[in-house]
Amino acid sequence: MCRRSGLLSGVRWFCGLLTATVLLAKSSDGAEFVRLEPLSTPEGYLARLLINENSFPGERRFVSLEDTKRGMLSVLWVLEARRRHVPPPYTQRSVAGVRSEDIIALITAPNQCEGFHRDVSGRPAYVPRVERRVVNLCRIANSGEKPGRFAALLAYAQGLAQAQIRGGIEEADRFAGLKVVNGMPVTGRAYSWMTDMDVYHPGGSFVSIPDPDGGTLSGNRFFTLKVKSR
Amino acid sequence: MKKRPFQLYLPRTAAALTFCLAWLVTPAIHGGAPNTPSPPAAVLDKHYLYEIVRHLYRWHLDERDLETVPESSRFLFQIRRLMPTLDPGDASEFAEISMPLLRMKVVVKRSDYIIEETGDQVRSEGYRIIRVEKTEPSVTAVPDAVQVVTDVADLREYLFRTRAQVEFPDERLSERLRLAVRRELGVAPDAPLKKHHTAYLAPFSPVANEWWVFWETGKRLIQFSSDTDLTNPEVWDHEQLQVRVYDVYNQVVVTMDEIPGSNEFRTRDQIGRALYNCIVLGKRLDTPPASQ
Repeated sequence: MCRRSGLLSGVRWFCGLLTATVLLAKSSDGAEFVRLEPLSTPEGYLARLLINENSFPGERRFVSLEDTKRGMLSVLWVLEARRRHVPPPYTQRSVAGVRSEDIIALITAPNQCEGFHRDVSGRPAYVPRVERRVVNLCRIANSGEKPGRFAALLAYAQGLAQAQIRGGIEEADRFAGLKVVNGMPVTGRAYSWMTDMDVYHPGGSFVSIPDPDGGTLSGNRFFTLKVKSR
Repeated sequence: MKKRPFQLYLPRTAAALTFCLAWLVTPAIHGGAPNTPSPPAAVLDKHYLYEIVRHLYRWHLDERDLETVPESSRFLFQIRRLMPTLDPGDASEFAEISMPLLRMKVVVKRSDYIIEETGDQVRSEGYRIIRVEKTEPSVTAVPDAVQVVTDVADLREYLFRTRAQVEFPDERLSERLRLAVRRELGVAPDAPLKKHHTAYLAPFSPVANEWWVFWETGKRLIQFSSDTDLTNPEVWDHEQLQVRVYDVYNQVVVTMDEIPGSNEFRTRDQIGRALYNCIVLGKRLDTPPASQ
């Protein structure tokens, strides 16, 4: 978990709340309840990953607003763990497929996040169906008389992305303190996620975080790492 | 479907009397802690549980999973109600079905809520699989679970007999499916195609709101899923439809050990099972080019 002074935490929290409020408030012409940052920005790109990887109402693995929010936060923490909390003797490259401090580089690393990559010009990009779904979710979010769950989730994803890009994640990593899974010592923190279907096993030294430890969120199963001796 | 007799798991001293009573009244179900909400009755139904296993048989199980199941064993289902915290107004129900002999468990859901923004109702008529996972071999007892027992031989005979049983959407729904596939391929609904396209449509499952299509021409596997029953034509208007696409050439590995931690790949076993359902059990759909 990122540590910072109390005052700075308070300022960042206020900025996050203000941003979320702006995103949720109807615009002066009454057009929108929520709008995402442009795809070309790190905040926009990261938000779209969080949205893409988690379930919304009407989708098969949806459980609740809070479950999806927890899923988004946990996906973000996987990226952060890959970025700054790789436990020795693992290397970042062995866990994340790339060596970088840039969270966008972690997302676009080859063969890592399905659907997300760099285009021929090197810009962060994703496959068309990702954008189609995001557009559809935004359309639903901006329907109706008042903002509902869709707007709340999109705003939450955008808020998380903004917080991460601009200084750090406020909320705690729920898997940070995990030490043992089914009798096996683990490093704690999640370093991978996969959809819950089809009995996925991520391979290598990844260990499935079981249900009693909250290892399934928003239709994703999260994985930590086996403890390795140096 | 023909209903099958099943064995009750009961103490021997009461077995004879209880066995007689079992055929006169609703079959007694063993287990469950006194204060634990009982599982939904529909999930305890033998017919339903057989369909769950048939779905696993078709989509998840391989030879090595079944060859270790002894012929003479009783097949045990351990079922419990799950109580996640839901959003206000959401009347959905969840349950977990564990099958120790298969070392697998599924989570099922009967969805029942409204999308406030659009007024759409999200509802499934029955309990649909939303999660499948393998369990540790050492896990044999599930706390607070109700047990339903059947004969392994009986279950195997059912699986063998129905292994090619398939169901497909009617014509009205088929048109919606066709448009959904076109939409995912980026083709306008009535746009003429420049070349011949072949696709294979997998049969529907009565216990899972997912549907697979293998687009052979583009070597893509497409998975449609929803929290609403896919037999409801309105779900195909896209608002409640989730889509995943897999490149069967480039997104397949034999084992995830080849690319640990990635969520971009699927194993050959997974893709192979999907292709079997689409190509062997499914329907072929040929679309000629506009010139023809």
